[in-house]
Amino acid sequence: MLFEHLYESLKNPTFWTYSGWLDIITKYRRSRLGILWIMVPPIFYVWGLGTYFASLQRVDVGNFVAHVGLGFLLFRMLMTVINDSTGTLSSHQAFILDGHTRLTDFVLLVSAKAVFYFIVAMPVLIIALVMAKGVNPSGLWLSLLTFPILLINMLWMSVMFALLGARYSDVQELMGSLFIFGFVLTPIIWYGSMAPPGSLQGVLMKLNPLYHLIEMVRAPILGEPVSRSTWIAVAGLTVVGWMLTSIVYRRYARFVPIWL
Amino acid sequence: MSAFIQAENLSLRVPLFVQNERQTTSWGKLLISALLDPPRREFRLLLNDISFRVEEGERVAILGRNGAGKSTLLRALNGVYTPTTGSVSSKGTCQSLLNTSLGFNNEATVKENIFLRANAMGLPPAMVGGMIKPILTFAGLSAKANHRLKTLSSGQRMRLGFAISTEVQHDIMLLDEWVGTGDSEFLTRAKERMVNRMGGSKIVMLASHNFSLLRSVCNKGMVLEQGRVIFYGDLIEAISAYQEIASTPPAEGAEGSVEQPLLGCVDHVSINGTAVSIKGWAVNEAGLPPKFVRLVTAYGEMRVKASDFHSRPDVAAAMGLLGDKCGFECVIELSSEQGLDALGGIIEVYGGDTPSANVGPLPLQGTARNLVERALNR
Repeated sequence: MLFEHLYESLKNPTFWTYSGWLDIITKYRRSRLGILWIMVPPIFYVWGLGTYFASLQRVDVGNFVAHVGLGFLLFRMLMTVINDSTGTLSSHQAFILDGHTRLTDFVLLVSAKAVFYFIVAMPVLIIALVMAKGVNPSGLWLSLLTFPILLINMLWMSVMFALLGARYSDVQELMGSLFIFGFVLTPIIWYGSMAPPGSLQGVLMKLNPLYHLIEMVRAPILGEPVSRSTWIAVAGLTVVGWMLTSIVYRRYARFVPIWL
Repeated sequence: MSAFIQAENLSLRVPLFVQNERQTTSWGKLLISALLDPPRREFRLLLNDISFRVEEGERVAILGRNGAGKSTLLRALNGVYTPTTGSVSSKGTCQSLLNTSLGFNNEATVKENIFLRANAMGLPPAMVGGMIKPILTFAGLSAKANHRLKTLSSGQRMRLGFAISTEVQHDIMLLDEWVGTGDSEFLTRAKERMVNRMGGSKIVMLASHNFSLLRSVCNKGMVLEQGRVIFYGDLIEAISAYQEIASTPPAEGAEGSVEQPLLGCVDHVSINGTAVSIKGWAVNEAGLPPKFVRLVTAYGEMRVKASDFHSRPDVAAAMGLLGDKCGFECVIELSSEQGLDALGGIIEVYGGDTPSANVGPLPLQGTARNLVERALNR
């Protein structure tokens, strides 16, 4: 049922793409700088945080900014999707209660918005990558494979959190407060190598699914090796995640209108 | 095969979250219990063993008290609520208009919202382009096309929602009661659209308390009470059946207010020597006159019982009422010929089913309002 709905949603993208697009443009419509505001957070985070923490940790600025850039933008995309998914069904309840019961539309809307923000921030990232010395061109090619894998995982997380958020409003609150915590916990403004395998930080890092997804895309681009445990974790996440989500969706999607 | 919609032994049980009742003795305890008590999950039977079949060409009025299950039934029929037991089957395309907020984007313009809503209905974009103008014209919002949606009043939103949903002809239309709240000029157009679009082949199910709308649109009636269908058949008989249950107090534990809102007005005030006559009409949501009407003035109070009401055929025709005994007249004998001044500019009429009738006051209209305003200005 989940796959049928996803297929139907992808075949008829006008509603969720248009609705997402309206959300984005109306948000900036009345401001002077308009849509340029989208560029502001990436610049602050990537360059501001990147140079600040590079000097604090006495590491090479160019490479570190690229590390922060990739890490921040990927993390922001994943976390925004998880966050927004928890509320997407309740904020679209007018549509759902009027008979629009293909819930994947509302999930894809969230993902499409996050991917759009990621793409708009690309210029900031490209400048950072050009200035870094350690970028590995063949790693960039690999990202053509790893980035879609990340998106596929993002999608099941989005469906799962949308259902959870519709049933338990606690999840919405929890995910909101996990944002900053997750940001600090994931090696974005620090290098993963700073948390040795046996330490508490190292264990927490390995338990964090977002770390593996980000590392899988980021490490090859920056010419770093991807550990075997990351590949295994991502493979496991993809298979188990989709299986679990399709079961949950089949079982519970029909109750969503009653929960809202 | 022709369009139909059918429910068979349809029941719906839903979990509701209820806060525990707690004896609180202080403000602090009240806060703490509100904070720490998790809500209890309680199951409630909202629809109870409902079976009926609506055939092509039938337009069904759904009647019932507030909380009787009208909106829930419509949502079960459009497939949003999955039945706990029983089934709903239908043939034909279905469009429902149940939700006042309609999922509009408040910050986007009216035109953009038409695109959004039409997209959500699954219409191809090429088709939507040609629909914008007729939709705006029908809703009477052409001048507002590029304004942000949040500048519209609730009546304008309703018109827009109705116009979008009915622009494309669907086989089955499900409409909830807020549709009946528009201004009369729009309602005329809306009625026209619902009835004429039928073309002898469409189904309309309309929940409303607006009898005039129901009587001009529908040809069958269904009465719901506490989640059960207690009558399904001829419209006039359905309205009578509804008025019968509406005139009895709701059963223990049932939702629904004891005092129903009143419709009506004071439309005639005249002075003849020392006698001041105040006339008007009043009916409740069920289309029945209240048992008592109470007039309050600075000179004193008086009460009129329903048995003293007179016929108002004009009101009955306009409101689609079954009975026309809804007019009241209060005559106040003043001690001298001082006219309306003696009433101190206060003419308030309340109605209700108890002698202390306190729903209202009814608005003053027409000559009555002019007279009172003149008396006040002097």
